[in-house]
Amino acid sequence: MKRKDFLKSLGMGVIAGGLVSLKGGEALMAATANSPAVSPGSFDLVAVKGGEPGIMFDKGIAAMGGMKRFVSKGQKVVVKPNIGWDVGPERAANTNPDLVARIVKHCLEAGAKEVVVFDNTCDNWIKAYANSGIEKAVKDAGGKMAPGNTESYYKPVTVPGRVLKSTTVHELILNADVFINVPVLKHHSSADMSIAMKNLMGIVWDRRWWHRNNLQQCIADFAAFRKPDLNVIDAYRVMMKNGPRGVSEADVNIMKSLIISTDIVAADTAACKLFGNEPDDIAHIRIADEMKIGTKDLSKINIHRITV
Amino acid sequence: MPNHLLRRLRFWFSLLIVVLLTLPFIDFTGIIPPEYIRAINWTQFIPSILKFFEIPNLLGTGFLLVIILSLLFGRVYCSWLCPFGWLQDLFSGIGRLTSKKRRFYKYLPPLNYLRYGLLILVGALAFFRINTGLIFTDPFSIYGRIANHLLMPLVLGINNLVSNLLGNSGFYGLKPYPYQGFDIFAVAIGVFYLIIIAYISFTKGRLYCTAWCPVGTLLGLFSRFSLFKIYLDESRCNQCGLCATSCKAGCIDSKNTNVEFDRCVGCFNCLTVCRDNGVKYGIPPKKTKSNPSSIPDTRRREILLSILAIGIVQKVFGKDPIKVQKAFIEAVSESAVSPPGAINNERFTSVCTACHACLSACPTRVLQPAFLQHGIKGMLQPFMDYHNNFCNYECTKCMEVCPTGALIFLTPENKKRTQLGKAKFIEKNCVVYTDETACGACSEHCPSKAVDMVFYKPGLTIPEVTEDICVGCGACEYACPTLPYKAIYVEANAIHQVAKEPKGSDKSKEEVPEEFPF
Repeated sequence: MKRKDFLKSLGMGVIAGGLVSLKGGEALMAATANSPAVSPGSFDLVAVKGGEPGIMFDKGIAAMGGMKRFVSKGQKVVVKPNIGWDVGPERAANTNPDLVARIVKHCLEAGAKEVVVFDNTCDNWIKAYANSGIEKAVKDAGGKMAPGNTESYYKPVTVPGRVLKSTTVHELILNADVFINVPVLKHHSSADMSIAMKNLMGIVWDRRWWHRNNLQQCIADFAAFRKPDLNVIDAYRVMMKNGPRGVSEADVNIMKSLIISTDIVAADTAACKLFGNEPDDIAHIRIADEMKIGTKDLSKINIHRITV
Repeated sequence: MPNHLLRRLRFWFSLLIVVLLTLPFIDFTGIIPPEYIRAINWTQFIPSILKFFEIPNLLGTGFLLVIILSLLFGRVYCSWLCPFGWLQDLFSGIGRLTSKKRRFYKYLPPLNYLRYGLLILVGALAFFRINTGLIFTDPFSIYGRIANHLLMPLVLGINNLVSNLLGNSGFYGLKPYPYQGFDIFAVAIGVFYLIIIAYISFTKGRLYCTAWCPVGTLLGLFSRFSLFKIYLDESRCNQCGLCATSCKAGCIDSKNTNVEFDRCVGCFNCLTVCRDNGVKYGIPPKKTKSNPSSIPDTRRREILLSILAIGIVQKVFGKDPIKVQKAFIEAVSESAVSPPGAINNERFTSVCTACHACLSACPTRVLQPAFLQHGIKGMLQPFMDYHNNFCNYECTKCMEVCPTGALIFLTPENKKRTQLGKAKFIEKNCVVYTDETACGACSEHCPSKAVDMVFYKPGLTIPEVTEDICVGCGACEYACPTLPYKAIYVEANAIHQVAKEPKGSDKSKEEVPEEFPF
């Protein structure tokens, strides 16, 4: 994906007389200024703790090299949070709205033409969009909420998977220049954990097929289809049990943490450990590592840890 | 008020009312607030009278207004408030415009045997709490179903067409909505009524209202004694019959200089046509001529016949609802799952007139018209169709809009503790059992974790149901992916129960990690 982005940038650069590369240079310099102690952009994974969602993201994305590393001027960005359920933010079944809003803001500041947010919800989508707080937060931040509730939006694709060979994916993902995956870390009764790979079930239409045909394998398979350009895992509030919907606030621990990575498997591994589970016990993480979609060996990647 | 103004006022007023009444039925977005729906449906006679007897409160007093209006002005409900009457006016208007006949309507003798027989039959059935008669004759309910099952999909289709065109160009302002509520039976019934009524009103005006509609017939009994009446001024009338040609109800017998006012639907079209100003609306003078009674004394026979009919109907219809085959040999729900607020199936089916106001308001469209799920007597009444969707845990909309009191309002807290049925797990159909792969879609969707995943084999969990905290919302049944049959389904509570509160609290723990564990 990066290569594609680079080629795009190059093309635009030729036309616009090197404007894009100039902007890129600025971004790098700006990011360096934000966190002078480290060399931003060189990390595979950044973990942040101890702050409010927006601030943690500010620090984290700066360490990742700034949003301009991922979003160029005029690009179409899709941000995919978890908006599965008709419950409020305190229940942590959906991604934190403040975090989503902050990501939207960063994308727009980086020059995105538009930032669209959607999910194929489990509960009624209108209620879930509204009561999660995400609809309002996104609109206030200047983003667009798009519907994911109608099958006609979903176009057939082939998947390089072991079990999952084809499915249908929301056209927004297929047409996006940049895809940012923003799951919430939580317990999950079907998939053991719901993190970044599991969150991708919200961009496909027929989830029942996955459930019927080895769910854990399908989750791993689909992660190979279109790796998000960036995974931002919300672990501010974490549902420790009764996931993915939860029953009450008693299910929730306030962990005030955030994980950002370009490697979806590494991101899930780190989040899984943060949750207190062993990544090897989570079948889809184990399988995805085996399929070399990413790595679960965190010792092999460059991690930066920030405490706010 | 000058006569031509009265007629014009009726035209615009009834148009306004029909638009206001139709909006909730075609609102697929759920944007119309329940308070509005309750207020506008207050004007409707049958829902209001049922609500009055079911849950006596101010919301059920609309029928009193209609009766008072009838005692003052005649059956004005039929032309000013009834949406089904308006629909007939639409067709007869088209019929009249396209017809070459100058003298369009003519006097029709009353079909007393039919109309009084039907009134007594429907009334007696309702008295014995069998609503079948009302379901198929209440004009508001018939109109509601036509609007919801025929007009709504049309509006929805146009919305989706436009939004898809715009959506493909990257604009998501106008959102498409899936048409989840398609029910062939309800659509067929709607089409049937529409064709019948179009045919009748196209050629014979308001014949349905004067010969069939039990609401019209009942209000006619009041309007016989109404203060204001339409009458022919004998000193001016030359019996030319022009007024009769404008009468949709066919109730002006100009040969006898008589208006059979109990069939007059109050459209006031006749007031402006007489060249000699002989058609009057007001307090009629005492009759000088003896008025030939238009109502033959057939009541005694009718009553006897009706009682006989009721007996037959009770024998045939009054039985237990037909059992719903739950797609498994072992799993047979004793009855259909009725909506929250129904309290029990017996009470619910005896009050609901199947107007489908709740179906129209339901955000998930889990409410579907029954075919035989509620038995023959509950045909078209709504039931919870968990193959179509599931009941939103927090939602109370159906109870908020029900105009008849068939659904009694429960607060969100009470609704969340109302057990419509209990989830039953059929292990042999479950993916975890058949394929030994992870699933748990049922447990995912469960709002109370009545369906939880428990240890099955190393690395594998399987659903387990805690029935006493299950609310019967059907989320598990809807989400279950197994084919051709589901591995979990809701066994209906014919009498709704109270579910125990699931364990939980509004306290979260703060546990910010000291160090990252990686």
